[in-house]
This record gives sequence, C-alpha cells and structure tokens, in this order.
Amino acid sequence: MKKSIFTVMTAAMFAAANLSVVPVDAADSSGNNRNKVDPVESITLNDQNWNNRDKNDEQKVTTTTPAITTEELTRLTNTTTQTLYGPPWMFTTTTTTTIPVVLYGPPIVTTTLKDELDESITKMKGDVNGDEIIDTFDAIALRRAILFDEYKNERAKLLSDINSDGKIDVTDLVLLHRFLLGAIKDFSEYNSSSLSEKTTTKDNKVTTTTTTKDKNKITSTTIAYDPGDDIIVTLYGIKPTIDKIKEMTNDAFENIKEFTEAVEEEQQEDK
Amino acid sequence: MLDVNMKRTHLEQMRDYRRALMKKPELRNLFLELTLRCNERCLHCGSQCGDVTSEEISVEQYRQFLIQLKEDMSTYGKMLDITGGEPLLRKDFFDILGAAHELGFEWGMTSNGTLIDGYVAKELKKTGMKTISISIDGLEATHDEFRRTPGGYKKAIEGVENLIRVGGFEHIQITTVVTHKSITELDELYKIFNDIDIDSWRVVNMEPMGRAKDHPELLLTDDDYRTLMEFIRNKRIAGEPVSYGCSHYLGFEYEREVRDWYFLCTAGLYTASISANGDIFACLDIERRPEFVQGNILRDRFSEVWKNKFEVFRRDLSDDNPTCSQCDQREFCHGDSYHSWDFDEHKPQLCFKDILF
Repeated sequence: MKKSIFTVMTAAMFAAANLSVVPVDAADSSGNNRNKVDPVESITLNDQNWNNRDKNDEQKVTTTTPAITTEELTRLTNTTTQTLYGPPWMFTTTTTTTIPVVLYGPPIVTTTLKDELDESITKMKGDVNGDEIIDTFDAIALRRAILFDEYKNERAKLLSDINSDGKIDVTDLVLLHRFLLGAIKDFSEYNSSSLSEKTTTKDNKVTTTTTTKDKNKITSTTIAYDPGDDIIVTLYGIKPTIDKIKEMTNDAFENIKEFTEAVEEEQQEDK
Repeated sequence: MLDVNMKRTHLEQMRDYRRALMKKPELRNLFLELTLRCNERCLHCGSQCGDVTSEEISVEQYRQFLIQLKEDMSTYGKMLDITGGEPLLRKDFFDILGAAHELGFEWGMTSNGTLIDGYVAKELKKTGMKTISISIDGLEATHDEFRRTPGGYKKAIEGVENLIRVGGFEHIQITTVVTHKSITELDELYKIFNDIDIDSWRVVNMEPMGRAKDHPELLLTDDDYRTLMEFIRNKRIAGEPVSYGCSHYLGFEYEREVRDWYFLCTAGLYTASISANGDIFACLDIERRPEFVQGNILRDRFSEVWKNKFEVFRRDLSDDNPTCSQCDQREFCHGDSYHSWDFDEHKPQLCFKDILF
C-alpha cells in the first residue's frame, strides 16, 4: 500500500498525541480472551523477602542533579503547537515559539540550530544526501524527507533545514530548487528571521499574529479547522472531488509565492 | 485517544456546518447507478441487485442529462460516482463515461473487478476514470463463498493488478465489507494488500440492510465492532492508508481516528443519486421507498429538484425517535446515517452508543 503525505500526517497526528499501536488480536473477535491488566497491580516480585523487608534497612540513595544550563533552559522553554485537524499541516501549520524574557540575572542567550553548526557545515546546507555535492539528487532526497521524515543521519537533518527555522518543510525545498536553478547563490541570507514580518490573511478563517524574533516571539499563520475542508470519502470510498485538493495545492503554491516575494522584498530593502 | 476537547469543538463546528448545508446544500457527489445487473450474488450485499431485470437509460439520455447538469450547475467540485450492480456489465459503459469525460466531468467507480482485464483497464484510463474501489471481502475461500462466485477472488486481484499495470489513476482502493465470519482474516488480508501497490484499503462493516438482513449470523457482534475499530486505528497510527467508511457516528473515542473526517451523512447535502431507471434519490443505499424518489431525470430538471426538493433528507432523523432525541450525542449524530434508519420503526438499525461510546 502506498504511503502519502496524508498518511504521514495522520501518523504524525497520533504521534503528537503520544498514541502508539495497541496490540490487537483481530482473530480474537469475541474479546473475551483479552487480558485486562492493571500495570501497577500486576507487578510481582521474585524476591520472597521483599514483603518482609525492614524499611529502615533500605539503601538510601542520594542523587545529584546537575544545574540546568542556560542553553538547556532555553531549549526547555521552547514550545511548539500544531493544528491536529483540518487540512494537512503542510498547508496550515501553526508554530508558536516563545522564548521567556529574563527578569533577573544575565540575559539568556538563544541557541539556534544555526549557531550549533560550524561554518563548514553551514556552507553545505542543502546537501541532504550527504555526498558533499548539492545537486538535483538532494532535491529528491529533501522531497522524500519532507514526505516520510526519513534522513540519512542527524547531519543530513540539520543540512535539510535550509532556512534555519527549526522546521523542514516545503519552504526549504523551494529554496533548494531556487539554488539549483541559479536564482540564489547561497542560503546564508535565508533564515527564519526573514519570515518574521510575513502576514497572511484568508477570509476570517485565518488568525495571524506577527511579531519579530527580536521581541522573543515568532508566530506564524494559523488556519482554524473548517468542516467544509473535510474531504469526506463517501460510500465506496470514491473521492468526492479533486478540486478540493487542487485548491489546497494552489494555496500551498500561493504561500510559497508570497514567501519568496517577501524574501525578495526584504533583500531589496536591505540593499 | 486524541484530545477530547478539541474533538468536541470540531464536532460542534461540524454540527453548525451541517445545519448551514441543510439550508444551502452543495452538490459534490452524484452517484449514477448504471444497472442493477451483477455477475456476483453476494450474501452480504447491501443492495438488491443481481439476477433482476434492470430498466436502464440510454447513452443519449445520459448525455442530455449531463449537458443539462453542466449548464445548470457546472462541473466544478462535482464527482460522478459510477456504481451498480456491476457497471461494467453495460456494453455501452465506455460510451456513457466517454460522454461524461468529454463534458469535463471527473468520475470514479466501484466494481467487483472481475471484468477488468488489460483492455478494460486501458479503456478506463482513456475515458478519464480517476478513482476506483474494488471489492475484496476476505481471503480467497471466504470471498468466493460470500460472493457465491468461484474464482471471484482471483479475478478481482487480477483486476486490481491490471489497473496498477496500466497506471495513471489517481486512486485505486480495495474495499472490504467485514462480517462476523471474516473479521478473523483482517491481519492476513492486510499482509496481502500491503504487498499490492494500492492507494488505500477501506474496511467497513456489513450493514444490516438489503440481502444482509437474511443473514444475521454474518452481522458483527459488539466485540467485533470494537475489534474492527481498533484494527483500523492501529494501522493509521502506523501511517498505513487504512480507513473506515463514511457511515455512522462513532463517538468521541473513534471519531476522526479511523477516518480522515468527522461524521457527516452527506445524503441530500453533498450527495444525490440517479438510480438505473433515472429516479433521483439522495443516497442509493437508503431504502428505496416511493416517497424518497425526488424526481426522474427523464422528466425533471435535476438542478431544480436538488434546489427545491430533498426536504426529507435535510432534517434531523433523531427528532423522530424519543430515545435519540434525548441522547447526549444527538447534535453530532442527528440520527446517524440515513441509509441505516428504519423508517417503519423510526429508529436507527445500527447505533454505536454503548458499543463504541
């Protein structure tokens, strides 16, 4: 059976809710043989002396927890929320990252993926397949990575996040395509802060809050769940229409177009 | 289970959306039942087709109807869903669908797959078929026994393979109607289908309607239903393209988890159907009572019927039943799927309350 962006998104939705596969024996249609186990009550110990132990004799364990570092604090306080329902995330992703403002003590230094990469790695952004050459095969690998969340290794994953926004999505693919077509010379000027001013509105379904990274808050467009966008597969499983899919695809292309225009505008302003 | 509060919010939105659709319906699916004839005689079939005489309308009559439909309502956002009987039994099948394709309609079909050889698969592509769902209802012995068709399983699998070989279709699906006898075969079926390059597997329960009413031993038990839902959910958690069908409100536990959408019976809201003799219905699976015939395409203009009639389908059935009307899930279920409503007893023939939720 084929996996598609939709099945990947469905699995991701469950993963986000911490749902994992529950073993089900389809052969046991009666359901009578299924064990209902209380994970706490069912624990048994082999040590016969356990119940007769003297609690005072129990070994005391002292643990030392290392103080949390500033970097870890920053990472821990980053929160990401994503819409679980409605049109696929690819087209309507909500990502809110909030970095707490320091009230006391030295200011927190924000650590980004970009900072973690040394310069040599930064130069190899886009080398998704790890062959040290950035070419069409990387575009194919990145497309696959976006669809199936499959990376050759951790380095490949870092190099796939071309705009350094912490997400690997279609915008990275667009940048890579533009690079391969010669429209841009390198990726250094494309990073998430360039996106911070971007605002999109679409009817009343879209809520948009835009704040720059400088103010420690990055918020992108949110599209609320719309029942009208549900593609209800009616009897016999036939898709009602591909027009809805076309609409969504067009939306995605529109978003990409707006994104590239915004980047170009910023570049012009900088010049 | 996914977040309940979020589901509740979305179901409330769906409820409001449905109410809006009742006032302003939006045709998306138009089923065309080309024939009642069928080359299989399934024990668990939801319809009453098979060895029957079938009043059928001609290619030219279909062409005129589709021209009129395009003039009045455009082809945009509409899908023709071709069904039967076995639609490929019609000798003029490709003439009818060729006309639809020429007019710009997108279409998909359901079939038992037994008549799809290499030539038919190529013709289906040529006439613009986008999607197809082939019925395979169990392992070989089970399938052939249920369908009372020796060799039916092999032919259906060959049909799927022929379609895949020709390629270029948007969606090739296998549909399995699960019975109490075949539910034990789900894991084995999954292994088989997983090795075939289909786009999805739709797994539904046998509905207590049509010929199936004569075989209560095939109906799923309460435990079977739970097993079925868990099976589908687990496959979806693993990222497999397995789905339940459009029928029935499933409660907070399984809504949106075993299919990609929240429950909405689309009959009369998104969906209309033209029976083999041209009668206009909401959904072909709804009991064929004279009072449910909204018109006939040979004498009525479909767009006017769609706009001015169908009142019987644009209301809550739960209002007709004291238990349903007091149920705490009624605003999301509204009496469940129209096709499973018992219009004599005024109650649903299948309700998942106390089974799944």
